[in-house]
Parts: sequence; C-alpha cells; structure tokens
Amino acid sequence: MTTHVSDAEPASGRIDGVATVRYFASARAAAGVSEEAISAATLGELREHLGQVLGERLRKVLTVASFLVDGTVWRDPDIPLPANATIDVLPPFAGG
Amino acid sequence: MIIRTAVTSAPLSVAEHEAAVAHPAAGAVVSFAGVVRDHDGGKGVLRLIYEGHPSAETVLAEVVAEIAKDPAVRGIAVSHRVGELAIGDVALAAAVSTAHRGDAFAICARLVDEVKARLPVWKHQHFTDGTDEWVNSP
Repeated sequence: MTTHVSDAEPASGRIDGVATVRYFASARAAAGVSEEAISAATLGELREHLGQVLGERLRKVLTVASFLVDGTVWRDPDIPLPANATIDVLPPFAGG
Repeated sequence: MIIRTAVTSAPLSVAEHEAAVAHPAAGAVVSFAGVVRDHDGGKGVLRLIYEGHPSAETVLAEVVAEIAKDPAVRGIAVSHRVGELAIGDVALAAAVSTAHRGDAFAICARLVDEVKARLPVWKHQHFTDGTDEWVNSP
C-alpha cells in the first residue's frame, strides 16, 4: 500500500509496521513527493516496491542511492526494518 | 587547535576562513574555494541550488574531527553553503593552518576530498538551454 503525504503535512497518524520514506534531491524529483508512508518489512522489499510503483526514473536513482534508517546508514536488504522506521533515500552526494 | 564548521545559506568568504585558522604556531595557511562556474559538461550554467540533508552539519563535524587528529593541524575552518547560488558564489570554503606548508597543502586537499565524498549535499544545476540536472544522479 502506498499513501502519498503532502509536502505541507507532517507524518502524523502512523500505522504500525509502516515506514515513513523521505526522498531527497533527485529522488524527490523522481518520486514526485518528499515523503510517503509505505509498508515494507525489509529494505530490499521497499526498493522493489518503489521501483515498481514509482517508475523508471526512481528505479534508476535507487540503483545508486544510499539509505538511512532512523538516521543510520543501512545497507542490508534482508534484515527486518525497525517498527515505524524513518527511511531516507539519499542520491549520490554532489557537494563542493 | 581551532576547529570551525558550518552548513549555511549565508554567503561564504574564504578570507574570513583564513583569518579564523590564525594560530601563533602556524607558519602556513592553505585555503580553498569551491566556486560556482558558468559551464558544466559543455553546457552553460545559469544557476545552482544546493540542498543539504538535515545531518549535513553533523557529518561535516565528523569529517573535520577525523582530519584534525593529524598532529600537524593547528586550525581547520570549513563551510558549505546551501540554497540558491549564483555564478561566482563560493559553495565550499576551507582553510587549514599548520606549522609548515607541506602539511597545510596536503591536509587541505584531503579535507576538500573528504567533504565532497561524504557530505550529504546535492546540487541541482539549471542550464542556459532551459534544461536542468541533479549532478551525479541518473
């Protein structure tokens, strides 16, 4: 299930087992929203779901993106995500 | 030792960073300015928008703390600007002071490389032909 959350609203009324996904930079541009609530048990499941639901452009960004789960870098696609996690999708950095 | 880091939407001055790392034991100050240029990949650039992740300040402080472990360092000041920048604006300002120049050159280069690799900041480029691009992203 995918629920789009408008830019103006905070992620209130969370449901157990549902992650809050926050998109940054090109990921936000590809997703069309800055934040949404998505039900996923693992990072692998989340990536697969996002790639299918949100199309080619986001799928490409996801191949090179890194992820933070509750503020910590998360690489393993199979470890269960914490309950009510906040997952940040970070495209490759381009500072300087 | 002097350490100063910032992620800010305010204009940056390299001279101000150089002054910030002044230290009685420092015989060398090396600085760097990352400046918005008017071309990239053969296209004309109109303007740039830098976007920072909420953790950018923390990450920058971590990077600098690692580099400051080098006993040669007397001072480090580094700032990254976010928001909309114009051609010629400084996006990244850095200064390092050490006793001797060899260390200052090497440490400043390492500082800039590490910041570029690790700071969660993104660049949205707008070109003169009306197109735009998120740098480093498909």
